[in-house]
Amino acid sequence: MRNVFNKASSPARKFLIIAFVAVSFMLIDSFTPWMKPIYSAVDNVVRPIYWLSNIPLRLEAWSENAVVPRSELERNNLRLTKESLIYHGQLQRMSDLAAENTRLRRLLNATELLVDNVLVTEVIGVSSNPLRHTLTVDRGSDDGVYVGQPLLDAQGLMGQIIDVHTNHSTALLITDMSHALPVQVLRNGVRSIAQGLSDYNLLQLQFVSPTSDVVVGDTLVSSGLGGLYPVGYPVGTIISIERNPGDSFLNIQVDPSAEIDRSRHLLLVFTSSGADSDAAAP
Amino acid sequence: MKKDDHLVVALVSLVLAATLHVMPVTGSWIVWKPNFLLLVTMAWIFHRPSEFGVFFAASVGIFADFLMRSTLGHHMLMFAFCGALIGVLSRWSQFLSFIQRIVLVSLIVLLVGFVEASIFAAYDISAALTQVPMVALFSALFWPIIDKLIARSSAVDY
Repeated sequence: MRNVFNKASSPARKFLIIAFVAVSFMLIDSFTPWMKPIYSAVDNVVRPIYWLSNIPLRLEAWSENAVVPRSELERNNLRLTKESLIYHGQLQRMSDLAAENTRLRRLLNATELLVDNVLVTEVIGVSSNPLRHTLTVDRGSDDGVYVGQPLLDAQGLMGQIIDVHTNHSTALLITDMSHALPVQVLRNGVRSIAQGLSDYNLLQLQFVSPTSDVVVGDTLVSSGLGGLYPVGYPVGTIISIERNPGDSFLNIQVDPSAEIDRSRHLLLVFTSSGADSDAAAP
Repeated sequence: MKKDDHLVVALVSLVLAATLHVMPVTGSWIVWKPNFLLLVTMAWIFHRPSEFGVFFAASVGIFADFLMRSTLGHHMLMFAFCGALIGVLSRWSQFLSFIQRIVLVSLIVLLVGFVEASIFAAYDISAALTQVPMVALFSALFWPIIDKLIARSSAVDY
């Protein structure tokens, strides 16, 4: 170890050697799967660092629960009981609507919408690179998580799983530059692609022609095209539409529904196709 | 024995820096987060250039690649670049004043940010270049604390 870190006569020459090795590594990692086993092996070694980095947040969450006065707990309990009652009432109405929807779809000879299974998960790490919007969640292959699995928060779609380990997984967020998501306008079904901009609060709609019926305030949901994301989950709301005379398409910006930079508890959705191909739903 | 002990302290400081580096922060703050791993690596090279050089920086870079699940070689290249730059400047850097060293560090972080953005561009990922100066600025603000801590650790005779 001592010899490895000894100073050499020329740092520039050393850098050239390392640059050659680094570029070789980058090419191998980019174009071959050879590095995957190494990443999987090393990932279990670096995982304790993520665990350590979460201690302040866990302490904060613990202190929030531990230092709450009894009166506030009672108030919260009462509020949650009322909310539960309201939601149960709405759920009864929903089941009636779902049954009606199924009957109508059968009349139209359309395929039935499947009810998706979900698994609650918690964020244990966020990419420290502002240009790469990924996060790590505390569920892995042991829980049946698979690559391509959609991830939601309470408000809408968050992203998809891109890397699965034994007891944790990495998800690519919909706001990442390299991510594109097929969507449709809830009001009229106009289809488009929502592209990430590496901004947690913004998406951009691609390929929407100037004659399309889209207005500011329209809600976008996942269209299900592409087979990755299930149909009908909220994606965002259109916040601005620009018509530039020289452009073939509209410049449309979307505010994501999900609280992408704030949500800590998320849902992994087990779609029938993904769960069949890679893992079983829990 | 003395060098090995410095290496142990350096590894502990790097684990702490890595912990700070991956600590989840709210999205809008993430662009302000300093590059802790790079700062600690630079501090060790500044204070112990005879023991920590380009290979040390490259090793930390590989560790950063595994930690952040970036393409293997990406951080290795950037960290080695910083190590080499400090190595080349080491004769002059020991005569730099405190403020001059802060400026040098922020310039290096700025340069690394732009190099990183160029590498992202090679992968067809457009880099938000406006965020790079913010990271450099906050790295410069944190540098005096890190510099002081590493100076104290590296000066101890084990």
